[in-house]
Amino acid sequence: MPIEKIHGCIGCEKCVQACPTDVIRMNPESGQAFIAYQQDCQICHLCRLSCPVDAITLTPDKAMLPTTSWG
Amino acid sequence: MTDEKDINDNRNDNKSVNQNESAPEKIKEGVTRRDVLRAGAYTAAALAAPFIVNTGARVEASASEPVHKADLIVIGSGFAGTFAALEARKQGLSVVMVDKGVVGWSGMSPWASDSRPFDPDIYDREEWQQNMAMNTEYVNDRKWLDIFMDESLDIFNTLHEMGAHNTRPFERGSVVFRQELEDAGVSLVERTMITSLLQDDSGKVCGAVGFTYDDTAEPSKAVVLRADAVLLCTGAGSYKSPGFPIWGQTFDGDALAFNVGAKIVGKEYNDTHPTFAFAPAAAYEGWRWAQSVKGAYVMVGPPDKLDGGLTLGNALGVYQNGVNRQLGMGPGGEPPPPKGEERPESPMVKDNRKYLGKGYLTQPDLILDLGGPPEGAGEDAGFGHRVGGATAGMGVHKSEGVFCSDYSGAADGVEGLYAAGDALGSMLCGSLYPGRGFSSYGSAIQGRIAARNAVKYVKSVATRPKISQQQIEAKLAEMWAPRNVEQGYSPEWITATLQNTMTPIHILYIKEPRRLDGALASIEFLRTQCIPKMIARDGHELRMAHEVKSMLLNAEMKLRSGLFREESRGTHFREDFPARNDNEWHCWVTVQKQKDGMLMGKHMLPESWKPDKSKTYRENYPREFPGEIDFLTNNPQFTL
Repeated sequence: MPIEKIHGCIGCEKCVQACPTDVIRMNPESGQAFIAYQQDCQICHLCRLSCPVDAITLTPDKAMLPTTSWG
Repeated sequence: MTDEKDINDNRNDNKSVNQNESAPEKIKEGVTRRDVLRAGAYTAAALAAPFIVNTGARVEASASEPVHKADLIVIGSGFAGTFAALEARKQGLSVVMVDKGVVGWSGMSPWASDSRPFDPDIYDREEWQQNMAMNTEYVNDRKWLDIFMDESLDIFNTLHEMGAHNTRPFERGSVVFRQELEDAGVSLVERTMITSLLQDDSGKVCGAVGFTYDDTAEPSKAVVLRADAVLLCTGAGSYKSPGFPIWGQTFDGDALAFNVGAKIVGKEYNDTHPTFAFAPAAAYEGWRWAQSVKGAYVMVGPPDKLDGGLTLGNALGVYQNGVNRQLGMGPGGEPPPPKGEERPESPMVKDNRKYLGKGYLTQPDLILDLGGPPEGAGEDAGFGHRVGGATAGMGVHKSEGVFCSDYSGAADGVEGLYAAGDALGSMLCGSLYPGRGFSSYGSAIQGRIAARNAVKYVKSVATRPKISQQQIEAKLAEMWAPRNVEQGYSPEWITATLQNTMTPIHILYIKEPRRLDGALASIEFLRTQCIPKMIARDGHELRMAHEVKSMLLNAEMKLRSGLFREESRGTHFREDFPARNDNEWHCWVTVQKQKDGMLMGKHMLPESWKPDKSKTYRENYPREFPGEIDFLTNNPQFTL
């Protein structure tokens, strides 16, 4: 799993801006960041490095998708 | 400093360069024949193709798109884009800067960590020229290196004045550059992907269309940008390969330029960065790991190993990970050192020692403290478990992209289009990247130069070129298409198939015509058959759809360029021609749109750039390709 969880978000949106691959979005209702497209995380840690309250957890595991099915 | 006069002089000098843009008959015939054969096969295959349903399909309205107007559009906001936009503003142009991400965060600039100023009091100009030529195998552009040596000290000083040297790398862009851009009055359009350039009736580039992909709070919007000129600072790309943090870079600039008729150069060469078997997809883990090991060469490293001198060994350190290895035959193929022994010092580090204490050490503050190897990495962290493919698809920094023959940054043959940085195929670094700092500093320098020339062009444009509403609507329809397709292929599946086709070592790193042809057939099918049936369930997938479109176009350019260059050189290795052939291939290879196909071209280089004839082949080319000696023995026209 690449980006694993966001816990204790204060809603500053920095991680959303920092993510080069649009993995994180803001929930308009809660005002907090959430992981929207985990599969596109490149584990670059820019979100974590930009987070002022260290709310983001990442792990180094990720596999490239095998093309075992069509479409 | 290179002023405008110098650039003009360079342009005049270039007339003496022997230009030989040709499309060899056999290539043209080959494509034509293939096209005919293809037509029948595809019809049947397409009928049988499976689809998945687009659960998020909906017809997008495009009538109310906001229009941004400026004198100049800069696409991308890294080193190239920032220095370009600041220069254009300084000279009085209104500038709109559009970025797929957010200023300072997207692309490679958050990771740039090295300085490369040429200080004439310390370094020797001719030594740099000779070493760069030998490192990059004589197909580097020596005039761009001259320009680099003229301007790079000023880039260093400018970065220092900005306060960029006292920040963490990713804050240099997101904080320092951003502040400079805002203070200068550059309009920022962010989190917006550009999908097409707009042209007037005569073909002048004068606008762009794109969309906002973040549709969580409100639907994606079309964005239309109008200007007198467009400057691409879009960076490089890879196939979202595991292990390098450049998934946001997908050759969008090359695709935009190719589609309006620009020539693209340098697609046959490869970046060779490896990753680590421990966690191959984790860029960050790999980098902090490498940082902890003596002699590590990746972007982050101990400052005392990173002096700015350009030495012969610089590229050898990189090259150890390339194809030119007797052992391993590929990136990451190097065996681990015997247990208990340290890995020998890399030639790069060894050679750089002579400059230690004399030059511009990388600022310690610029180094991102990554904290050493990750837990569980093992005793021989790093080297014993390096694996390849981390940057598959990526070319050589500064040596892949829009072709410009006159040192202005202007795309050859397309009015109003400029490029800088990794979007520009300046060939500064020839057939392999020779070392640190050339990329970020090269981007900054080229950004400024391209902006200066774009300013001159914009000031010469009497009335803003006109674009028909019809053209804008057609481009928008093409852009939204995957949102409207009800059944088809997901961009994720096409990306995975592309990766499985292009990432293996035996396609781009160890090349052979049958394998290149096989990959090409697969890529062509994806491009012609799957792209039109691509679905996007939301804004995020629409972005991925256009990204994979750019990646497929790049893949085809890379395969065709690899097939075209029938020799080996630098990071381009052909099993069937495992030696350099200066008589026929002392050139750059260009690729250009031709109807539905690609036209290959050779741009021959000046005779004076060839290797020293008084030296032997081996002296000029100290690196030996696998199979090279046998090949040379059987082909006595080359001198061993």
